[in-house]
Amino acid sequence: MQRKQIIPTDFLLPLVSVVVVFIPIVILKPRVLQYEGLNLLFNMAVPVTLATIGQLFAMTIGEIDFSLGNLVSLVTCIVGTVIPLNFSLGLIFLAGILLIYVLIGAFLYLKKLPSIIVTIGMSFVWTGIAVTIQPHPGGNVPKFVQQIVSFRPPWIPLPLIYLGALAIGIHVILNKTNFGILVRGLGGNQKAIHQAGHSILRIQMGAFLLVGLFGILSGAALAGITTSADANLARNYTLLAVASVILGGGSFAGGKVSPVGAVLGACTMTLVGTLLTFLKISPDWQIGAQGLIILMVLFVNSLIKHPRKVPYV
Amino acid sequence: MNGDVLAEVRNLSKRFFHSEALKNLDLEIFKGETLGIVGHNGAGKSTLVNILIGTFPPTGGEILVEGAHVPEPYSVHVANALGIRAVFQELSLCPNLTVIENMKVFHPSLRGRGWRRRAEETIMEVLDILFPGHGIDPNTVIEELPLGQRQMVEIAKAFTVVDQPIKLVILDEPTSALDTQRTGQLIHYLNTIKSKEMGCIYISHLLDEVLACTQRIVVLKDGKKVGTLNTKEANRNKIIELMGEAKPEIEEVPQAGKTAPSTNGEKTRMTRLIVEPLQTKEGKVTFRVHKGEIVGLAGLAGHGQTKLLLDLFDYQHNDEFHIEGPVTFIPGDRQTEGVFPLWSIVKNITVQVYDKVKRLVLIDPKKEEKIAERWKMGIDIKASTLNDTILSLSGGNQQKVLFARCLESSAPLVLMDDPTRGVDVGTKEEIYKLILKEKERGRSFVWYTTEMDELKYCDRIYVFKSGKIIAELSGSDATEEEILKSSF
Repeated sequence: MQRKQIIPTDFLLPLVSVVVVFIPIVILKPRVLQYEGLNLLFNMAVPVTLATIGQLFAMTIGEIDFSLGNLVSLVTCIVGTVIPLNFSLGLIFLAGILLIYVLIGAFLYLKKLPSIIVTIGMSFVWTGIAVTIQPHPGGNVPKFVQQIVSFRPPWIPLPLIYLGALAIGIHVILNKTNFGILVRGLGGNQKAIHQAGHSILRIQMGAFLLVGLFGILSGAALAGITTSADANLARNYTLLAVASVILGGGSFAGGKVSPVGAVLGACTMTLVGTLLTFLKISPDWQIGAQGLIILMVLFVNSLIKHPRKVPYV
Repeated sequence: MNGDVLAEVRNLSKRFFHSEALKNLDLEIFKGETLGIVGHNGAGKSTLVNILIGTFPPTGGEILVEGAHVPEPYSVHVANALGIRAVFQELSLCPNLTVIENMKVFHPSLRGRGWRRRAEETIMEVLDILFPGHGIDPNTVIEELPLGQRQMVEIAKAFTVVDQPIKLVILDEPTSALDTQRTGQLIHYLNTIKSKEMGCIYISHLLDEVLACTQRIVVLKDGKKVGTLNTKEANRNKIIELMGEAKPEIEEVPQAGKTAPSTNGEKTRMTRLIVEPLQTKEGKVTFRVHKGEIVGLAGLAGHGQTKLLLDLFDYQHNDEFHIEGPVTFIPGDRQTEGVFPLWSIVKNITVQVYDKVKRLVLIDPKKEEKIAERWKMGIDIKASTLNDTILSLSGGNQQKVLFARCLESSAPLVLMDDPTRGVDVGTKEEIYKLILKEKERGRSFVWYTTEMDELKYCDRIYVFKSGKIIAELSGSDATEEEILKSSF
């Protein structure tokens, strides 16, 4: 049987991007290739990747979550401040977030509203709650959360295990499961899904539930790594996640996403920051330089990538 | 006879806000039958389809399947469970999924171990029977397939059985993207499944197809059934008469088309070239267009006709072509390439001629409306007000708007990509007249069409095969036989 060659077009470009950023890091600091080096290097990629996967689910169905970074910050406050004081209250908070995400998914479909507007609105809500919980950076992240993101398995550093598991896991969910195929189909042709007798409402609610879930996981991971609760800790995650999905070969149009590519994209975004630090570029210039590098990668991508055209014989 | 009734609608009505789309319609489909439904755009065919497959509920009347009322509330789910399927004019496939994945979307019961293999076997089996030699790889993403192959998947999908048996398949303009060979295969298939315990409804503007594959034909007009014909006793004229068409017009126009090229033959040879001859290495057939000439592109669908049109459109970046003056393009795929769905009819007409409606640097709505009003009168666009959104028009009238848009421009060369796709007979006639009139005024047309009838209006015809022009025929000797002979 002929298998369609997905791998080259979908995985190769993001892989090249990671390598292109990784090589100069290795040249500058060869020690990053050791266990400890890899651990430090990819540590921060875990929360970025989790947020990216959240964004990936939104973008698969042709929507976008502009409140993701604010949500991640809020979750660091819940994990670092509410949970140590009152464990069950913290869980209620997190469950409430998931519920709100499901409702957003339903609301967007039923009222035919653009997700950009609704989620920008939500971003103020999340930050508002976060500032109320934790007006100044601080908090006391529980030990077990720290351990989940910092224990040391033999041979392979923990972040690499997480990243690999996420890439494979999400790939399987989107490409092999019923739900995943329906979610992608929804991004491709909503009418077709409806006519086949599926409930678009339920698919959309499910997709948004996953956006919220991965937002929460990202926040928990970030809190565990930084051991701090901060209402503004992850505000740049919103766009970082969007950029990672796009770097990974996804598209704003919906339906076209690559989970493996997105994980690699998130790694690229994280490594770029590290590279700039190693190059001793002052933090004032870093964000600008980071932006330039992203533009460059996207530009190269667009040059290599052939636009998918209907082949006329 | 009653025992043989597969499905039935009684006294079916549908009101939209201000118009009545269906009025007290009675209709029955027998087992083993293919029922043809014909009528103008706006006759109620699409409404009937949508009610039968549960997209929206009727405002009155009842639906019965095998003698029993359908469960209420009737919905897409219920229709699916009853085995009622539809093939749509607009494709109901997810373009970003593979053929196999689309099968899973369509058949949720394809799950568990080995569903991919089962999905592949199911669809390939039907494809192989329906369209022998289809050449479709089930692992291809739909949007990478040419339109014709996508339509084949769409049709085959409706005939696949996974768990519940199929009862009724509704084919709504199934051949609009298929070439003659594939259409023939579909009609053959429909004629061979007669014996089975199912029925089909075949809806098409192409009366010859309906006559070829149905047992009975129901004619709808303004939401009412105006007649039922036994296909054996029916012919084009009878149907057209029932549809309320002016009969002589249909008879006359092809005649006029046939004589036109011969009288124009001398003239076009004298007039200047709009598109300079295209040099091929073999030096055999070259593409050229004269002023005031209609050039037809024929051959099997998807064999390079659209590519030539796109290349011509892009002539400024293509050294192969030397074209005088601007060109304009009328797409056949209205929804994706033609209309601006959020804009009004006026805006859709004037979008190509902003230089005409400008006052200093701003657009003058009065000038825009004047142009639109002129076209509304001129080609009878059936709209209550021109400020309505374009989607309030029927498909045929939307296509008229696209013609108005392109013909309002001063471009001497008009490229047409199967522009009458899914347009009703009456509107087609009006479009043909419009094209002939514009031709008299000296405009040139390059016309890709999948309908043999339309080639009669062309002065010269290029036949395509596998991306190349393989024959040039003059309008007078372009019989269907001649074209088919060249394409195979």
